[in-house]
Amino acid sequence: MKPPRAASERRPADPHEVLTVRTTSDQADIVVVAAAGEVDLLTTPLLEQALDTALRPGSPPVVVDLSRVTFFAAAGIRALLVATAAGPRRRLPIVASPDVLRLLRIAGVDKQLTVRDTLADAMRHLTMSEAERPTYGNDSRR
Amino acid sequence: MSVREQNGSVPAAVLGWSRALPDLACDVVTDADFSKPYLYDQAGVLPGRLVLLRSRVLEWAHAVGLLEHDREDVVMAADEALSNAMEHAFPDGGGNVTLFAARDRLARAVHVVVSDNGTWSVPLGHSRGGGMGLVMMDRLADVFDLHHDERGTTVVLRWARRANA
Repeated sequence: MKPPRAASERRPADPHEVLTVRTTSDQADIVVVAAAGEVDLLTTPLLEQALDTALRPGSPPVVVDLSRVTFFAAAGIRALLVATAAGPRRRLPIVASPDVLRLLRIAGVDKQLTVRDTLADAMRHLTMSEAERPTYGNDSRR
Repeated sequence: MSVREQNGSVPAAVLGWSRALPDLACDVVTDADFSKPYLYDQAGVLPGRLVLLRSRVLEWAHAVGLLEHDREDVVMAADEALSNAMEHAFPDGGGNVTLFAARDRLARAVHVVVSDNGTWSVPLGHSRGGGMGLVMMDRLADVFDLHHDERGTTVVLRWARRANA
């Protein structure tokens, strides 16, 4: 079998080919930062930039939708922790695909973040007042 | 694409590379079964190479028969090792990262070795991952060993053989 060409002989990937990050707003004035693709050392800056912009002081509440993320590295986890710390307490719900959730659990950060299964659940989390908000598994003391 | 050797002996390029490695990593390479699919690749320090390297690790993990969750763990941990090297080893750019993956001769485990010849001038805890990459490698692999000396840094990751792997 002929050995494959060395990785260094190939053209390096462009971050925009690997990850797409879109920021949209709905009628309820909730901003959704949705990522699709792979979040790694190359592409994490795209997610960070979108979160920085969306989380500027005085801007509407933000949901991070990672339901279409197929790979999630430590750099991405760090970006989520920084964004969560920057925003109002418990106000950055994250929609995680099963792959992302598994990673967050392995990293042991799922309790530090507000993780929801669906975009609808994440939005509900934002539209509820503090008093109405149920104590989910990842919000409660263990 | 992973390759295999007809006679199972250590290929010259791999042997040459392994001689400059710390003992544990060198043992992993000399104990590897080269008649089974293995991976040996060098890449420049460019995060844009990670996608391709991850796909090669995944392909190799399939070829040696790892199950789905093990394949994901191996790809994830290898990516963190490569990312760490790319982030820290070469503050001035340039340099190479070497990726090796193979099954051992006794079919007891699979190993991933990532080495660089950089300087790692930035302290480990101050990475973009805030040390998270090291935590992930430790939790994803059965054994995680990081060796750092004046020649560079070498990460060895080991997964014990399970089920049909």
